[in-house]
Amino acid sequence: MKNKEKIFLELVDKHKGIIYKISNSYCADSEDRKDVIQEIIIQLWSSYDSYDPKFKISTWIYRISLNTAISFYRKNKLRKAKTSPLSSTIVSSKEAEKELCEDPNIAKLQEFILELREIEKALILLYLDGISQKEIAEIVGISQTNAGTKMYKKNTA
Amino acid sequence: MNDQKLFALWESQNQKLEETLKLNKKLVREITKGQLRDTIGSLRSPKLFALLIAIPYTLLLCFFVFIGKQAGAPFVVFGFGLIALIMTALIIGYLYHIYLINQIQGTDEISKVQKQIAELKVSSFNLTRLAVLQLPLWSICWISLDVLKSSPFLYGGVNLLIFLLLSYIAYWLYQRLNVQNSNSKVYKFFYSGNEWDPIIKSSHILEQIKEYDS
Repeated sequence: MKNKEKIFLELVDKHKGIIYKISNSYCADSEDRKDVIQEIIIQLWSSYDSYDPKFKISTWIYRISLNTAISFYRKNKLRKAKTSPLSSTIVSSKEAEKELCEDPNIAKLQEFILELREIEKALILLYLDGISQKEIAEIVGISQTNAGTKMYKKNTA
Repeated sequence: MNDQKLFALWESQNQKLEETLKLNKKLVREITKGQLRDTIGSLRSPKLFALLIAIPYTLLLCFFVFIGKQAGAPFVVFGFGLIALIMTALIIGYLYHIYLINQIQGTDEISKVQKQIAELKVSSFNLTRLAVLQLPLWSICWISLDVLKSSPFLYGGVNLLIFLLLSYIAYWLYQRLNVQNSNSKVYKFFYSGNEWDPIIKSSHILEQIKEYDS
C-alpha cells in the first residue's frame, strides 16, 4: 500500500503541470481552481487501479483531468466545507502565477482559452501541449480527421 | 499570432511552471487515505436520498389506494393511484440514473463521459418536471362521492374548477420548466444558481458534442 502511494505521489508530481494548466484554463476563480485540482487528484487516485496500460500514462491523466474539469460545477458552501478540510491547494506556484500575470502575452492567451467552450478548450490545450492528432482523438473520443479539422478552424479563427 | 509564436509562448509558460510548481504531498496523502470525497460519489448520494424518501412515500400512496378501494371511494383510488403511478415512474427513473452513474468511468474518452454526465443531468431535470404533473391529482383525492351525488352542481362545479385551475398551473409549469427557457423567472423561483448552472452547462456540452459527432 505504501509503495502504491509512493508511486502515485511520484506520478502526480511528474505530471502536476498538466493538472495545473487544465485547472487554470477551466476556472477563472482561484478557489474553484483549488477545488478542481483536488477533485482531479481524487479521481486519479480512485481510477489508479483500473489504469489500462494500452494507453500512455499521459493520455490517462489528460482524460481524467479534462473530464473532471469539464464536469466541475461551483459548489455551495456546505459541500465546500465537506470537500476541503485543508485550506491550502495541492498544486501551486506563487512565483509562476505572478510571472504569468505579468507577461501580457501569456495573460492574453489565458484569457482567450478561458473564453472558449469546454470541448474547444480541451482541444486547444492538447494542441498547445504538442499532443499528436492521433492522441488528441484518443483522449477526446472524436475521429482523427474531425480533431484535425476542428483545430484548423480554431487556428484560422 | 502564428502557430510558432503560440507554441513558443506556451513552452515558456511550461518552463516557468516546471521550475516553480510545488506539490502539496500532505494533501495528496490525505486523498490516498480516502479522507476526501469524490465527485462521482456526490452524484449518487442525492439520488439515493431521493429514493429513500420516494419509496416509502409511494408505498403509503398505494396503501391509500387500497383503503379507498375497500371503502368504495373511487376518487381516492383514482387520485392517489395516478400519483402513485407518477411516483413509480420517478423511482424507476432514479434507479436507472444510479445504474448510469455506475457506468461512468472518468478514464473514458471526454466526449463519451461528458455525454453520459450531461444526459444524466438533463434527464434528472426532466424527472423533476414530471413530478409537477401530480399537482391537479391532489384535488381529486378528497372528493366525496356521497356529497357529489347530493350537490352535483355546486360541490362538483367547485371541485371541477379547482381541478382545471391546478391542471393549468401544472401544464404552465411543465412548459416553462424547460432547458430552453433558462432565462425564465419561473426558473429563478424554483432553482437557485447552484442547482441550475450544472443543467444549463450540461445542455450546452451536449450541443458541443453533437457538433463533433457530425
